[in-house]
Amino acid sequence: MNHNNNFQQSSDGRHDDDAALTEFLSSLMGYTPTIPDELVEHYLAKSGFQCPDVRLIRLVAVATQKFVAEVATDALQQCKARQAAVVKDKRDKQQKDKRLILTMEDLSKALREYGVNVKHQEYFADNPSTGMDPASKEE
Amino acid sequence: MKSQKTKTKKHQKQNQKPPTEQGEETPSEFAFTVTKVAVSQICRSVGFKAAESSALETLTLVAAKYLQQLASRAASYSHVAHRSESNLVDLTNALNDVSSGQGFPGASALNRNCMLDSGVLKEIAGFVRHGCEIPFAKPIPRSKNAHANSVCCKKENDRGSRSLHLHIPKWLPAFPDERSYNKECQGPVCNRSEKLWENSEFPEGERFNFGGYKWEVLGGDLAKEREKVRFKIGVKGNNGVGFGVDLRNGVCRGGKRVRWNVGDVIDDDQHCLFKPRRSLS
Repeated sequence: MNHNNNFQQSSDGRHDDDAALTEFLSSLMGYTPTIPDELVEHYLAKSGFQCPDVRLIRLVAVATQKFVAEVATDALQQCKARQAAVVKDKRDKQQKDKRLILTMEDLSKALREYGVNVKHQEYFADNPSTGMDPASKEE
Repeated sequence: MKSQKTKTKKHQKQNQKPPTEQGEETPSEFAFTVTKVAVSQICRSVGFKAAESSALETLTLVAAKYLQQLASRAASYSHVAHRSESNLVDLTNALNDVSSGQGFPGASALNRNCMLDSGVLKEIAGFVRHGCEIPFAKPIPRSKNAHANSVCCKKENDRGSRSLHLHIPKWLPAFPDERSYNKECQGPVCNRSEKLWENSEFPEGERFNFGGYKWEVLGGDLAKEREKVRFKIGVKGNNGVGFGVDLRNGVCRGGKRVRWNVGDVIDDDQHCLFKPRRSLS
């Protein structure tokens, strides 16, 4: 309610945008974000954010979901680009490994564009072939 | 597989009482695990078939940090505007701040345009419109604790009592529970959990033995109109040795004197360690 008032006051003569925004906010009522409301409320309460309006909670959830989806898409592009860069004759042999896997390597490259510098130890437990020399990996 | 994961988590949550026990999850760990499931759902929707666990955990951490950053920025904007509840303008400002690193349409003219005419909001609207909806794998039961602690919920309840006192401005804090100041409301129904904290250790109005002395604890409820009470310390009483401090200087400028006679405490008939004694002089 509160923000609706603000919204109406501050935007005279922008009826189209207003209508679109109002429609978007009301569409959030029927939208179920992947990040559940309860979880968002937990984090919001932890950060001192108070708001009884479900739409704003959904908006935060959708914004976070969009962010994660963007990062994941970037990582996917990195992954595909890395696999495409392999020389053609080797590609057949690596067909097995061509599954799309979210790896630390791709993720850190994707996150760097968002200002997050990830320097993470690659654990041997993540991948059984980590640490083996490339020749034995191919077989 | 995913549903199995959530099932085990829920099981852990039900058993979640003391976080010190092994195999139990603290609330933050639980939140992290739930976030991990949501993030893995998003990754799958993007097109990944599998994920390294360390990469997934990193992305989960980043997502949680992003959410908290967004929330704390919005909260700080609302605090600057002297509000305790955040609204859409605060959230839009926070979104603009958080996404200014990557840039967005209209970022250069933020101050000229209307705040709500933000490119970030439009992008999110497009995301909602065109992206497919992936609900969370399992519904999460809302914890009862969260409801009890939530300020918003408390306010909602207060509105009922506030409607009785329309002349009181809304920005004033709500009245305390009526039982704490209205004697008529008190009765056997009085719930122990809703007493004032001063009385929380002692049962109200009961006498009991403590350290050889019998103490009478008075209730914390104050009558609306009270007699003037004077305390005296350091004056020799009628039936005991008094001791105390002269409070005339320094802190108590009102010139009140407090009196506490040791004899009164030991005396069986007048157990009044906490009871302010009407001064004789």
